[in-house]
Amino acid sequence: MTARTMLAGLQLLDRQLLDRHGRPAGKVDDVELERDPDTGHLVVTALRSGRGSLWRRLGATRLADWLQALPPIDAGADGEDDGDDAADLARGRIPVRRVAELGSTITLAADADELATDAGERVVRRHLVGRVPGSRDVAE
Amino acid sequence: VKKLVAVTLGILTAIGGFVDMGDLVANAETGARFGLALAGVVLVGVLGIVVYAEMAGRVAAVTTQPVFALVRERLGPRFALANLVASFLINLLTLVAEIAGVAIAVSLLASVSYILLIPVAALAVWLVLWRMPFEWMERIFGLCGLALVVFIVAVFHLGPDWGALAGSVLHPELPADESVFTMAFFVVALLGAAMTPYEVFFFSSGAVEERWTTDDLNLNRANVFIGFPLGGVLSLAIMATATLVLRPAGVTVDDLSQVTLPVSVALGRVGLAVAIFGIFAATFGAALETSLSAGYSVAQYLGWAWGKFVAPRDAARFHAVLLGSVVVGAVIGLSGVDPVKVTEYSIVLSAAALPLTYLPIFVVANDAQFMGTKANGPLANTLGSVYLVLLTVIALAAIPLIIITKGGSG
Repeated sequence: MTARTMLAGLQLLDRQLLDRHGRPAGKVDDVELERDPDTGHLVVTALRSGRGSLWRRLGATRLADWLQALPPIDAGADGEDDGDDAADLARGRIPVRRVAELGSTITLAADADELATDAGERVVRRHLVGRVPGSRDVAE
Repeated sequence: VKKLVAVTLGILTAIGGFVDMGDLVANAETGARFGLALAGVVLVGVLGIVVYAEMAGRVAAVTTQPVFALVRERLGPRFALANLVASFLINLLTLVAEIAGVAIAVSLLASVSYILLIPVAALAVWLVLWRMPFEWMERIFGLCGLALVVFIVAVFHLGPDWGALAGSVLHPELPADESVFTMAFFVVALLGAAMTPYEVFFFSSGAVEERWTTDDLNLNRANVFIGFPLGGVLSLAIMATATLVLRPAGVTVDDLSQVTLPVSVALGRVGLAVAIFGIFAATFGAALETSLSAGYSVAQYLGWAWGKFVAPRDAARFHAVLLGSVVVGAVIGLSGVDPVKVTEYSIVLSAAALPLTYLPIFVVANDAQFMGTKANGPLANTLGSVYLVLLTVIALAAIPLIIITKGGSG
């Protein structure tokens, strides 16, 4: 990603995230900003998705803290690691270098099962939906 | 034929969404109590849902995202959350009514208490949600729901004085035994039933499930302009049969068998069986739509995978919401609540939430950033604004009217 000037509030916040295979992977719940010491501009360093970041924005700080403090759920088996971001991703922090494409949706250079927002999906799949016969088939 | 099959999304939305428990009860009860004095309200409701479903379908076709995925983006997480909570609860209440409707329709044929049939109805609804492809679902229930045309046949068979009927539509009168408030209550109920929020949730998500693109904008119009007016005509026919049979006999509507009574008077046992079959298909279709809408709204707010175009395990949380909604709906139904009362409350509370649903559609459909050259034109904007004002008035009146009229009875 090359640097570009944008309105984070309008072009990032609350957009749909997609993983590298185009699977829905949560929303941009919040963004992390840092001030560039040379230019004085604010630079987006990471997106936040899941683990309470939405609730923090809505003002439910306690709920947000509690969710943030939960131990991360194991990443899925086929999650390929492109560096040392695994811990960040599992805690709901997506460094900007993992953002592949910005548009009306935001595509990440990551698999859904590396992300914090996918943890709930995996739990529900493993313990409920995946146990029902026929869960693997698209109804066609 | 392909074109004909292609409008089934509109027909299912219209049969299952327009003509559902809410419309069956509201139209029959209004006919029995007020004659055709409130028929004009149904026409206002049909035009309203046509205007807004067209916008919602257009947004889905142009952006390939359903409207409610864009609500959070455009209006912020707080407004969208309020919208989500309100519509989810109303949806659930509607689902209770629809599951009960399916069970009652079967019980009218099988002479078993409908309560015993609620778990069976809920299981059948869930199985269809779990296994049946989206397009089959809409074709089967949309087309079977067309059996409700028997209400139109019944009107003709009853041989009404058409002049007098037309007169009562054009010059509405307040019946001597009703108050202005009960009449206002039923105006709100009819509009709530016609413009129930889940119809647009379902319609726009369904358009994404069917992978509509900008090329499908004509299909969108065809669906909207055929489906909803058809639902409106069926609603009016139900109201007319109640006007012709129940009103002179002084029968009020407190369960579904009174809705079908005029059909059996006009057409005998065969007509009755067809009407019950149509009600079964329509309420079953509506139960599918309301449970799917519950799943769509939550998944689209939080950015989860959703829809019937992926395997259930790949949209696990979405399917968990579907399952949970059907289970909760069945449990509430089993608790012995009066299905007709639940239906009345669901449509009047829907009316109270109407601006919350329709304002975001209006805003998104107007947004050139999302819509480019396909943003609202002057006609959609004029009608859309008029309806927003009307719906706000209706919404503000809804809760006070429930209290003043004790839920329409007083």
